[in-house]
Amino acid sequence: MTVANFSSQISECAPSAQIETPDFSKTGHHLTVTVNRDQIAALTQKFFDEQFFLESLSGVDLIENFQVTYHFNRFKKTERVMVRVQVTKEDPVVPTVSHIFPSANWFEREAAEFYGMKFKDHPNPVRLILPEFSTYHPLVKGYKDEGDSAKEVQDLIELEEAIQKLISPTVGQLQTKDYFVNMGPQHPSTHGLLRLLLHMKGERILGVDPVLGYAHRADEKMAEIGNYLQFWPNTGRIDYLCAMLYNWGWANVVEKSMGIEVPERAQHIRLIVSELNRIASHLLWLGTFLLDLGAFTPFLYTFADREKIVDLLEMASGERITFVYFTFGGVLYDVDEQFVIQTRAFIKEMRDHLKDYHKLLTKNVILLKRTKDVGIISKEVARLYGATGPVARASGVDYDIRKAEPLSIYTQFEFDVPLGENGDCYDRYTVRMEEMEQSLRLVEQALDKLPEGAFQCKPAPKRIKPEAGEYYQAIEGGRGEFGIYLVSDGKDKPYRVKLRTPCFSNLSLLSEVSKGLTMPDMVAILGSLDLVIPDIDR
Amino acid sequence: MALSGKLDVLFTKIEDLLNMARANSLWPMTFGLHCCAIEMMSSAASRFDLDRFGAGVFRPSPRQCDVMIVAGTVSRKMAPKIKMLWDQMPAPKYCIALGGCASAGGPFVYPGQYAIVEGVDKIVPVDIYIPGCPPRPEALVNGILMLQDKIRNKNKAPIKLPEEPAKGKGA
Ligand code: SF4
Repeated sequence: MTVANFSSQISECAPSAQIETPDFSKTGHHLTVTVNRDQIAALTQKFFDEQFFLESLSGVDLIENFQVTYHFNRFKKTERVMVRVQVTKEDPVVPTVSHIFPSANWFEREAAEFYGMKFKDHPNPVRLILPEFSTYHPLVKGYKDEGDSAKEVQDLIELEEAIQKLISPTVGQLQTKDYFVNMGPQHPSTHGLLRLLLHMKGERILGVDPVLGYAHRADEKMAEIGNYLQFWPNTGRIDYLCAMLYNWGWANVVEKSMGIEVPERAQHIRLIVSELNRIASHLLWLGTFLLDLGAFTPFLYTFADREKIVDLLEMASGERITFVYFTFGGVLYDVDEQFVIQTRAFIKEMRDHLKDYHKLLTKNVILLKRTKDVGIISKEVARLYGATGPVARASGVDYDIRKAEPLSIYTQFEFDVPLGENGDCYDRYTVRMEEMEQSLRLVEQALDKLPEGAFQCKPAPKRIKPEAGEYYQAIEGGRGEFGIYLVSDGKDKPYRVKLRTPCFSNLSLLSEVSKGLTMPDMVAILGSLDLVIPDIDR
Repeated sequence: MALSGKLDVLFTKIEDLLNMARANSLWPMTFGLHCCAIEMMSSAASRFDLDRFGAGVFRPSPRQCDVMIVAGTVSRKMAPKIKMLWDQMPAPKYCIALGGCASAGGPFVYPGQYAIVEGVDKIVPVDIYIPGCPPRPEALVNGILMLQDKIRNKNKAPIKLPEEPAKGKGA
């Protein structure tokens, strides 16, 4: 069944639905549906039964009203449906859908805290990203922080001290019952600022409650404050390990909406640098994952290899990690002959090194014991929580956006999508190892076909002003689907930018998979999820 | 000082000796905040190898560290924790603000922002500021060397800057 003839079924379960079929190549939506809020749960149930997953859920402030936007999509081949629900500001209550898709739980908490909406019957309606006891709703239009940041920090410090005093009497008391362990936000194996509250019984984990927001830098608010060009630096800093790919997402959503043509050479360069960046990101993951498992040496090896990629990318862009190399209609600088020669040399070298890694690791008994059958994510759990990228593919979900919804020139090249079977940590390891090889293959083909010509479109677009409308663009980031939902009102500033980031959804399934495991296994799972914390908190 | 001249000299010498030891074995805390943390990791890894300067022993526990490298943006939610970590470190302790964000908020400052603390010096005292977004690993190495200089010459005039500023595109 295709989405096109899905509309009759939608009207059946939601009689109030107004259905439109926009141009997919421009907006990134196959269907858009507007429904009344009392029918959203029934409609979501319908999508659930039809094997969709909840891609993203975002709030929008429309001055008079609030809008909640749901994106549903299917694995394998993209079929994206956008559902809008509008509520008045006086009565901003929407029924929750988190009992249908557990992934909605976090999305709804996020929308609630940033806009002050309420989700009726939500199981845990507390703040997720902003400080726990804050009361502001920063994404409401016109919000400005008038407060004194130093004072607020002082308040938080006092609060923290008060909390410490409260809990300290129980510390040191021997208990044989279950207890809570705090992990993070400064902990070497949470890879940054993630905090986990672990509910333990003896050695076993009963539940995990991640506390987010320690890396929140308000990227979405900043998108609304500057113009389209001014958002470039942020795109390189959300998931800084694959900045090129996120650059590409932002470039594409605007180019698509304005119909800017990108020259062939620029597209090839984009693919080359992006895939190199993906390898660099996976190499860093490999080093730190093994570091978490207790092996220090591979870290030094992978960083040596990563430095070579960083050099190549620096040659092209002038930066080492937080790239802002793309521009609307092309890339900022052309690459030269030397870049091509050195990249070829690197591919050859890297292939040898990958063989070494396999020899050292893939059959290594310690690695096998630590990762085999640990943290199994089933296909269904991946769908329920909207997991994407290597995490979902290790569970056998055949969803790679480079195949499902290819960006520009991916269709011209040959590459495979490696899939796992069990969905355990070991499969996530093998899938990423295989992906590096596939990326090398892509880079090699693109270098062979690299055409002469312009690296930017001519004339360069003067004013970046997409027409009013809603656009969605997904790209395959290093960790999964990075989606940008852009609402434009036809002015030179974005009206709303929602960043659907892979780590956010991938992390939300943690408590589901870690039940009954021990603490060291938990660390292995965290490592295998490959989290970048600012990508979660934005 | 109320002490006799003789004792005074002896006292200073021991302090100098200790400072030399401190400067040459800095133990930084394993503590990455954002993008700059990746450059901090690169500095510690194979190519730049902070161990050459005696500052490669990254410790996850603040109790064992004497330098806190604040590598990235300090969000408001994180600020109290950073204060807590700093308080847990035994003295003498030093702080390096790595990158634009830790120094002054970096690219995330705009009028009315609600998410970050504009510079870690609002909550802890900073010894060395390293500019850049992110600073190259060479810049961090330079910062460590400057900190060592500062520790060795604790009671003397301001530290001397290197004659030529560190080169590099990304810095
Ligand atoms: S200074 Fe730049 S690179 Fe460093 S944390 Fe801030 S934004 Fe990231």
